[in-house]
Amino acid sequence: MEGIVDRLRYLVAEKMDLSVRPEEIDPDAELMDGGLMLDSLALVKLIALSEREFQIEFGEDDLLMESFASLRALAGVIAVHRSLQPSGSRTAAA
Amino acid sequence: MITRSIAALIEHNARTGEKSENILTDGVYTFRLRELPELLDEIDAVIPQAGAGADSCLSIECNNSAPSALLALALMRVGRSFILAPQSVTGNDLKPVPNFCSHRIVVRSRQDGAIPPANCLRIEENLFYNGKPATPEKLYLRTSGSMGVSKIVMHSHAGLLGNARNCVGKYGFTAESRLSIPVPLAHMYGFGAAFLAAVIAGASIDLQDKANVLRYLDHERRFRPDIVFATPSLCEMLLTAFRKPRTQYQAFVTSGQRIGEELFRAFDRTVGGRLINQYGSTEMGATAACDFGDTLDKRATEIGQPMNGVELRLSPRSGDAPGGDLYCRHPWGFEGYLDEDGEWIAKAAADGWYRTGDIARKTAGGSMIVTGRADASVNRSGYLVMLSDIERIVENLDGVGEVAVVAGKRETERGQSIAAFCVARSGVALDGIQVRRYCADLMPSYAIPDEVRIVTELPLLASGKLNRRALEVQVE
Repeated sequence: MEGIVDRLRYLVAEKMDLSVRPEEIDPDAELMDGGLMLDSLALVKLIALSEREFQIEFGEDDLLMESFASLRALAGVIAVHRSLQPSGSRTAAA
Repeated sequence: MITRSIAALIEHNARTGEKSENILTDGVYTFRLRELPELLDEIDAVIPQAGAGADSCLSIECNNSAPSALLALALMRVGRSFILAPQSVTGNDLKPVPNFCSHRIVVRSRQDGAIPPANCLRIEENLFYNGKPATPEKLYLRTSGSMGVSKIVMHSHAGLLGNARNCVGKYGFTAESRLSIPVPLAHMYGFGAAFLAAVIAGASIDLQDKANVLRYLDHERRFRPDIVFATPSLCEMLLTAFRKPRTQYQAFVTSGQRIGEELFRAFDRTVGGRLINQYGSTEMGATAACDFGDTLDKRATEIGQPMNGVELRLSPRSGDAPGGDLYCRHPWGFEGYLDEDGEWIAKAAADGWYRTGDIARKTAGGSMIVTGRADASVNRSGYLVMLSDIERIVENLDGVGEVAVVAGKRETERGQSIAAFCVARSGVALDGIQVRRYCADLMPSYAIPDEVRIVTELPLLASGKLNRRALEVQVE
């Protein structure tokens, strides 16, 4: 789980043009209202980046405000996805 | 259609069986239309308590919340004049209040639907109020897209309702309609074409504040809209968020230029409902739109049939420039532009013809296709951005001597790319990243140039004028 959080911090810092370093990102900070203040476009980008990085596909049931409340919350959703996914399909997707 | 005042409409909606059970919701508050008259009474009561007499204009900073919508309706119901301005995203920095407004009312966001809407209003006296009594029954809006000094556009309440009635007729809104409005209420498009039209129809209304795909999906589950007013960029974002096809939608009504045909195609496929591009402006309101049943090609390219009573014509451009200047005459158009003191800058033309600033051509079938802007501008995230407005801001930055801003051919996720060419003041070391950072403090994110190049001089034509073409070639 902490591994996923760290990779998400790296993704946000490196790929999202926010001018922050990974270690400066508080995984419990709010992503949208306050905290990291991601705008609507950045949010869509984060969804796509997470799917690519972790080779998962979110369902609409995952695309909830709660799932994207913080990077830690998002890491939880990603962890569940990865545990449910047969490992073969992950390799195939790669 | 029977023409009713807003007061009569609200009463009518509240008393008419099925309509009265329809709702106005924003996800935090949910009200039945039958509750509206009483809620508006409560709002009416708090305004004089804050010292705002009955005969002055008010400045409203609204979000897309039910309390904001109720406040606007309350003011229209009593024929009170007000200017409607959007809140900043953070809700922290306040908007300038025109000197002809006696008070500023900021609608605060609430997470608790138990707080009465009237208690969401923060009413403050405008210390710079010039004492001007209000002209009754007016609504003022600021011109959109401009980042420098914006003009204030004056509409009458009757004109707004006329404009909204046109939309009801055009889109076929009824009391069974369920409209989602994630576009700003403080714009003509959100307030005039969507919200007031829904009020006239007695439809159920879902307002979405700080729209993003997650909020949209949340509201979609709970409200089940069948018609949505959404910016082109939200439409694009929703396509990536919709993971299964929809069947409930009649239409998405968007508004913007240079919307790719691909978006229309993808919408028909994924969303089922039709994507319609409404043509309009802050000055004229809803001007033209295709019908829901029109072919994809038509919806993707033409501005569609003019709204009821609206006339369009082309005036030849100078020289051999292609297309014509698009003029519009609208029965419910604006009355004129005012400055911050409430004095006229210009009244709408006496003959009613308004120059839209768009260049268009006529199809063989007599319909219009907008091909560009007469002044250099680009569409970014659904907002019209004047390149000259960006230039005005950049040239005032520390260290910048001269600047020219041009549009590139490249499409970015915000729309057509923007590049700024800057010449540093002598002896100043300027870098592009620094300039972009300064821009971020002074303009909305969608207007920040994607690229800032520092050059030693700007290319000139033999006439001594800036050679824009030479710069455009560099960013193609």
